[in-house]
Amino acid sequence: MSKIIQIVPKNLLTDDIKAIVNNDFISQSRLEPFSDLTINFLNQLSREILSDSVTSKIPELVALAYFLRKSNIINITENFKKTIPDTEVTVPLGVCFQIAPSNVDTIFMYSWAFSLLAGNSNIIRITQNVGEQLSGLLSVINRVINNPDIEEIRARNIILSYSYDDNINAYLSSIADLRIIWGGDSTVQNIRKHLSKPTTRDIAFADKISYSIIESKYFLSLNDQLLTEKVRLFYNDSYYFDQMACSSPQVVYFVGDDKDNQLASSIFWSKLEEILISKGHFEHISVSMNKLAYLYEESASGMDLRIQSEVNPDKPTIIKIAKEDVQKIVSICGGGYFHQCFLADISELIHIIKHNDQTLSYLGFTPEILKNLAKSLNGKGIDRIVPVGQALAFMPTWDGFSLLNHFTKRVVVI
Amino acid sequence: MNVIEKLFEYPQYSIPFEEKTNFLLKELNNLTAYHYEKCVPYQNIIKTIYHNNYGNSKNLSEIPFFPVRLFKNIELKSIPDSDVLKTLTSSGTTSMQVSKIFIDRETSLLQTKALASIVTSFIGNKRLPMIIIDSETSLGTASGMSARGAGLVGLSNFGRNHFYALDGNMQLKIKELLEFSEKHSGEKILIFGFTFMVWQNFLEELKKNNIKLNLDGYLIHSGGWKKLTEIAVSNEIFKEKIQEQTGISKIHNFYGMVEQVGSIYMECEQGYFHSPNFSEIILRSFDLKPSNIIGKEGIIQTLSVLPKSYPGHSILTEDLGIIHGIDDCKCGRKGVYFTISGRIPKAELRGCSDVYALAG
Repeated sequence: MSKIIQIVPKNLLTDDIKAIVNNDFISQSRLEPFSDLTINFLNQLSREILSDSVTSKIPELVALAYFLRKSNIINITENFKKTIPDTEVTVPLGVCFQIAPSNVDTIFMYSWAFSLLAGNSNIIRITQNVGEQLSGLLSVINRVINNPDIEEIRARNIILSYSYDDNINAYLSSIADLRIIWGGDSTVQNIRKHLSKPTTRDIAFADKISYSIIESKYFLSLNDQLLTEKVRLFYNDSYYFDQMACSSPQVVYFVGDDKDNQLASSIFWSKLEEILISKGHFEHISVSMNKLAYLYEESASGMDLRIQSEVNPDKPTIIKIAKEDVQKIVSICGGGYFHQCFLADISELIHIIKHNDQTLSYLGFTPEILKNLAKSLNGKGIDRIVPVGQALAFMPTWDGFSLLNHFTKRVVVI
Repeated sequence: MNVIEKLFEYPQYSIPFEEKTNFLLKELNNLTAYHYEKCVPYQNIIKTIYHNNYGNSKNLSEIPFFPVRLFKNIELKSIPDSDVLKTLTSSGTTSMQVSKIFIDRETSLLQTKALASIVTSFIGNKRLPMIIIDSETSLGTASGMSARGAGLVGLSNFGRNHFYALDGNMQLKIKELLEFSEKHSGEKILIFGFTFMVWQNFLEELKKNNIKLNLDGYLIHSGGWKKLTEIAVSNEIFKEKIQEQTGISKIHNFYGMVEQVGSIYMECEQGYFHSPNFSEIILRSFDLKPSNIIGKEGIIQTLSVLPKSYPGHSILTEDLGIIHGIDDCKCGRKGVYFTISGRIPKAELRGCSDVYALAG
């Protein structure tokens, strides 16, 4: 029997896993990096997502489909190939073991796509909690993978689900050449405790916090239509994954003099409220309770906070925070809970940013100012600085890793 | 006589609502001010969320509260570490974290006295031969005690000749049980256990073995209905089956929590929970505004005058309840009477970080 993509999540035991991820699977030849076969497979996935009645209606999956389409993938691979000197040849690492996060259903697709492009064989552990998005996506993959043209890909990729089990994680770690670990700090540490080969590479996605930064003067200069459009993009960045993605903004900085910051922030939040109303946003009571508990907890810690907009099922919760205290935000709340912080100058961020800060999504500011900021930060934190609206857009460089670089190795030929 | 002394002096359920409210209001205002001084995280909450307004609430609903979940993430205590007599922990079934409640001698005494006052008003002052539907091994140690252990110890004060009916493997000790009921036949006895264990480890076992007991006395039980609701066992069915199998007809559920040990809410003969002298409930709608409309479901906030060693005198629970009336229950007890209708439903939030490594 040929290998299958085992996408029906069920409780698998170590022996079941060993039977599926067996020697035949491990010792197969690797696919050629950036092969037409892979690019076509990704393109077929893209088309299928857009034509499927379920997945075509889910914005996150539509975004995925756009990412996977041929022109974009070719663009990404060409850009990568340009970085490779003539004296080097790119080859796959081997077997990739990937732990997908349970709650951002689609993100593993991006890292899978990169690992496929790199030519690696893949074993992907997905959550046992399959929601509508993920099940729609899985049935799309299932349909595409059964196409006889792509038997070679089918044989080299396994998506499976098992309940947390040290033995299975240990086994899969022992055979992996690359581990991609999503799921935040605790998952990363948990998988890392399993020994892998001395040559195994780990790409670990730790808990991260992200921010938006708004140049108040620029924001106030926009006409009403543009204002609304910018805040709508912020809404997408924030609410698509219930504000729980690593790159969803948690703190919104307004930069300028106090008067401009006051005015810009009040317009910004009232626009966001309008958008929530237009979307008929009304959050589940458990989301409100989470926000309430979070608010009390951070209040108890003694941070300098001012409640601007209380926990309310149809409104964003907005808490003004002193810039001295932003670093004390250690966990994210989600569900539409924003801190706002006023800065006189963007350079003040240098004292605020810390090692686990990821995305800074901006409105206003010149590219020069932003590049200077990245240079001044000099590795202190922040992996991406992108316009508002692109916080969630997956990019070839993520969390500071150039993924294609890390998923392949180089053979020097001189 | 201070307020707490007065509340102990009056027979349970004898104080009319408004009078009791005034007592509670005074004491809860005092407690808020007391914990403000003694517990820094609590003071921070009052500063940020209540703009430093405290100690002068005109209504019970104005008394500052916080979500019960905070006990899981923050150590809240109003005493120096050296005064901690015992630390109670909740049974963390759904979450990895457990609530930690720090108890000193004074609070412990108040809890014991309050519980005695409430329970004896139902079963009388005499200590009864007691069957505990649990294993002795569940008690834990005195310094670190689970909610279940604390409940067992608390209630066991009302019995004598205690018989732990389950062995270390949670199996019913049938032979000893029959001996016990033989020995105490004709006497009133007291049975205590956690609701689901009473059903599963006691009643179902009796049924399976075709044993019908002929007991007289009381069953007091607590611990929530979630598992029984799943198998479609209502309070009515529960009572009916218990009586059928054991002969016991005086069956009282109670609503209580590790965060407010002692001031429990006992179920009356009419099937309603009653607020005792020491505590009160307030219902809040989903926007957290007080909504004490009779017959309308709301989130339960519990107020208790007992917590002195930790700021737990006003807590927003995640339980839902319905108030059915005030001062006019057919059972004759005064005060607020209510039922519990469930827990706040959960929705899954998404996110990059997950608990897979720990639980998934």
